[in-house]
Amino acid sequence: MTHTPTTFSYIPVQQEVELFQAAFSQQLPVLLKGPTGVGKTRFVEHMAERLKVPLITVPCHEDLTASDLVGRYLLQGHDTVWMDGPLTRAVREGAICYLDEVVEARADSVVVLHPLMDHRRELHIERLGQTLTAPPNFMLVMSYNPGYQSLLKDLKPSTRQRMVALDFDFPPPVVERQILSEVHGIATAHADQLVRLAQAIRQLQEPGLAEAASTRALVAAGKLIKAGLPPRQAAHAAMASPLSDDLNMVRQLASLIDTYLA
Amino acid sequence: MSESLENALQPGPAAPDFASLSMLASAVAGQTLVVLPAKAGERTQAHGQEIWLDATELQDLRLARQAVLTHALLQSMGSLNEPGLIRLMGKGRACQRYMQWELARALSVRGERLPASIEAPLRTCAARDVPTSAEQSLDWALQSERSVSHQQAWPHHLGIVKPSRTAWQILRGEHDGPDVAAAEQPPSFHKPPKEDEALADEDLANRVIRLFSTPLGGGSVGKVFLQLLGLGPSAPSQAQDKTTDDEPTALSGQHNVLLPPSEDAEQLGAADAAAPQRSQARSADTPLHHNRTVMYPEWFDDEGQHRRHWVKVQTFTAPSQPVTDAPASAWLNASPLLVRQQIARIGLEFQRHRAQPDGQDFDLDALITHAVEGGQGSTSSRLYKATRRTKRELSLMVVLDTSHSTGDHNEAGIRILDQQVALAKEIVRASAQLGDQVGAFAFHSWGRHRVHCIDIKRLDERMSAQVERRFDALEPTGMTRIGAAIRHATAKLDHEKNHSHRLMVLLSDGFAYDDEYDGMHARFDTAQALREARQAGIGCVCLNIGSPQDDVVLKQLYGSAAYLRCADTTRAVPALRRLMRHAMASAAKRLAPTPSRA
Repeated sequence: MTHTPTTFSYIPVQQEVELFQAAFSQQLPVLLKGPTGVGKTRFVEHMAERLKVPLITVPCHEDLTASDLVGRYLLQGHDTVWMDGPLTRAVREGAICYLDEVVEARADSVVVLHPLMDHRRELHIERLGQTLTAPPNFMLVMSYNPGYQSLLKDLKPSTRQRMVALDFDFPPPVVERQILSEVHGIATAHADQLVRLAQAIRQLQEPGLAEAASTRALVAAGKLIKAGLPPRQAAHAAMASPLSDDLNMVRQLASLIDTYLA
Repeated sequence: MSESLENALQPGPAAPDFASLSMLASAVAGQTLVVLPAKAGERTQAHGQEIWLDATELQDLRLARQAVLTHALLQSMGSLNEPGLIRLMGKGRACQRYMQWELARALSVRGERLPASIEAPLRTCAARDVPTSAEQSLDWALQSERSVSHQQAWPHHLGIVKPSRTAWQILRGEHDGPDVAAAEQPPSFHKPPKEDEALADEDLANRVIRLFSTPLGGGSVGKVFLQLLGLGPSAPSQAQDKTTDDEPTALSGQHNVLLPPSEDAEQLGAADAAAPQRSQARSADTPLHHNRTVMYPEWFDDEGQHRRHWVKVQTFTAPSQPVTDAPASAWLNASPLLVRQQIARIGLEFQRHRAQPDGQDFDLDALITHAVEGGQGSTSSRLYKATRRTKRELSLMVVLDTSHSTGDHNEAGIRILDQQVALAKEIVRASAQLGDQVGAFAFHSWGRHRVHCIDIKRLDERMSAQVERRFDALEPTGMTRIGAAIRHATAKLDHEKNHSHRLMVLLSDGFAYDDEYDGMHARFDTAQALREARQAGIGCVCLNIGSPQDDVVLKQLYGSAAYLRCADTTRAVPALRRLMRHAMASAAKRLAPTPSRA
């Protein structure tokens, strides 16, 4: 899908904006690594807007084939019609093509990206017998959550070594408070409570808990509070319940929420 | 927070929610901590990974949280493991001042993790100046003329530190000295722990003097220890600088007290003297990395219920140096290929395949290609989508009993443990090759407070030569609290919701025995733990290789779980698939409602 540029505010944590800009100017593909809900997608949207380049996002899944990316012939009446895939469209238009959760895609479909990722910057469309050369504005961005996917799913070294990697982690408390209050307009007192809660939950060594307290979940809780829900109820709904079906875990987490959201 | 909400949160003051307090403490400390009720009359205090909460504080949940978080913070800063703490023995006021300075230091680092409603009152109890290290806090605490500059006295409910605990740790060899990490030091792998004794500081000091005055305890460690206490006859300059220059400790006056010999001193000395003999296994000398502590319930059939937080499981990372010259896999008298074949058909789920010669549905892509290429004269007949059981969806946990009894030899002269290890290793290897999520741990126990689970391979870890070496490093030791190990495996597998099939393989000699854990109680608890695992949707396979245990006992022990007793691995391997199938089927049934977990 193509985003029409609107305002995607983003508060940088480190040098990620400069790094991304440098990679864009040098026509290098970028890999965004980090847990879910820390702002990877938001960052790409922000950068696309900042660089004034269209953004085409492809959520990857295990049934995604090379033809889903490149394009395919469709039947129309008795004729066949070629339909560009999102990758081909991005190359033709000179857009940022963002492959979200790229390891979910089948390894063979990722390989079609290789010629686009090195100095050649070419896309071979086998079925059309064409080779497209990417314009300067074309950029390939992939996101990847190293802790989340199973061991079997991993990027090939040949894919990895073609990219510049940007590491994302949960923003520090100061930035996270800013994100909640300045970007999303959540009251400062609530923002502070939510950030403290998230800091604590992320320390727990239970698998999956840290991601429950992602910045995205905090924003969701904050928005519910903004919509008039009591803070505890908002945090239960946005953070505790979606995380686990283990009743004990949910109960303990609810108690933790109650301690923090006085 | 309003009172009514607090009350709504808690079942009542008489039944505090220790699990929730434990989670709160762990979240703030960044390490697993367990909150437990303190003995009657004891104040709130922390020891290792346990926070013992004064039950009287529980009437007011707000105070209980403050107390728990104070100790969680101090624990996370390593304040309670500081070996220099022994300098505070017998000095109640200095202990308080030490806590105030350490709390100030902790709040400056971790304050942002605390709920604002708890941070504010704690700040008023903490010292105003922030020391740079625990050592500095100690120095300051011992300078009685230095003002803490805090705003209010140390409240009773925030509890105390017990320097005598630290002294005991050093005595028992659980303390590594000044470079000790924040986490509790692991007990020695092959050394049974001694019972904790609640000793008054003075009493302990007397014992310390006596111990280190005996020939057995008179080594360099003993000398340093006495010098730290200001008790040594001739202190080397550095240690002397550290203690005697500051101020004489309260204990120095007791130097000349003549004490009668006591059993304790002899036992402690004797334990040290016996240590080299016992630790013939090389892994005993290998420091284990202590990962975390978890509390599990235990089933008491005569009471018809669980006792919550009854068993303490400590997990460690296994050492990876091989102990035996002949790797244990030498005892596997079945082909690795056979093991893989047995597991290959287990834990499969349906997967959609494209462009198949036959199938339930047309594959649109293939059909279009067929239509396009048809005009050019070349056609493919692979036009269908087919769904077949080919996708691996298995999480497997291998649980290995390494208690002392597995060191026995079978009729053929092979150690039971070697056979178990050989089979476990092959199952893990085969399963990893097939692409399953597979983990393994070994366990032994020294009573309900020390069930040791040694991680050989974590579920998310890659199979490697190091993992194989960890198998080879296992040596029989300790006893068998089998129920706790099963519950630990269940908890680990229960977190893996990614895979629809979950299976536990338990390799044991079937002798469930531990301190206050034997006979029918041990069997009932084991059977109950297996039942709970199945109710959680986890299949359980129990294997007894070459164990002389009686079939009647095994039936009681494993209940209705799939189990196999056989003389050697040759017979066990061909039965694996059938056993695993049976286990999976019984797990899926979920006959009874899930019992509560602690």
